[in-house]
Amino acid sequence: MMAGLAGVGAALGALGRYVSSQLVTKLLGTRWPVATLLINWLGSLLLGMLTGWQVAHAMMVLLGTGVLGGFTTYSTFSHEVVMLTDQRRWGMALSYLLVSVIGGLVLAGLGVYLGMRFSTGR
Amino acid sequence: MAVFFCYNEKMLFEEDLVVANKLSILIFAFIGGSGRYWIGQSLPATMGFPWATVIVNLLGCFALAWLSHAKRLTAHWPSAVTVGMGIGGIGAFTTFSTFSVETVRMMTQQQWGAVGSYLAVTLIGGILCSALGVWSARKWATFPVIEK
Repeated sequence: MMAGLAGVGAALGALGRYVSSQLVTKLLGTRWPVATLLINWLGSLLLGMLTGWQVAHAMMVLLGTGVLGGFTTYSTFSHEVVMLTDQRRWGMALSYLLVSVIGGLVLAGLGVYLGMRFSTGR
Repeated sequence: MAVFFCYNEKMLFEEDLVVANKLSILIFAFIGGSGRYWIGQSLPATMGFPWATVIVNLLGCFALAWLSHAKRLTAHWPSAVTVGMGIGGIGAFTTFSTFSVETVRMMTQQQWGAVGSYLAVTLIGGILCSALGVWSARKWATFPVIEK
């Protein structure tokens, strides 16, 4: 039951990632994997907010594990880093890695803070 | 008249491909997302260390890299299947948001050893698994074409 809920959420999240990454690529080009970066940043912020807000368990499975888990992706991120090193663009590979991870952590932390503020302010 | 038909068929074909990609992503992402939930349930965090996320992300890194370069295999399928499996299935199976939030949680609990090892295992392990996937697919899945 819960696994199905996570699956439905993940299907919607992954479709959102496909559509929005095509849009970002069309707008900004492919020289830098900026679509995956923005998707992972936004997903980290929103999951942080859900965690800080302490939503009900079923809601967390649907929106957190499902939608945001399916929206963000680690495999594409890691593959892009490896392909940048494959093209000998070492500086870009390292900066993409650091910017993704440090930005993701800062935004997740900010999200938890905002979620807690919001939940106590209710 | 023939030109008109060809033009229309080509347009229809591209539209169909986009719809097929989206449907395929929905189906495979359902499997990937519920698979990640199932692994998370069967492998609870031991001593606060999120093993499930590590395993899911490392497996996915290898699988996506392998699939992206195994052209000899994927050339036999409709492209929507490859897109669905890669972007949908493996993309939804792995997760960046949970990785970030779990690291922040361990940081707020000041478990610095766990933070360091989680970051190192996920980042270095992920890069190694992706590289292994690319390397093995290039080695095994792209053998030379035998001409008759």
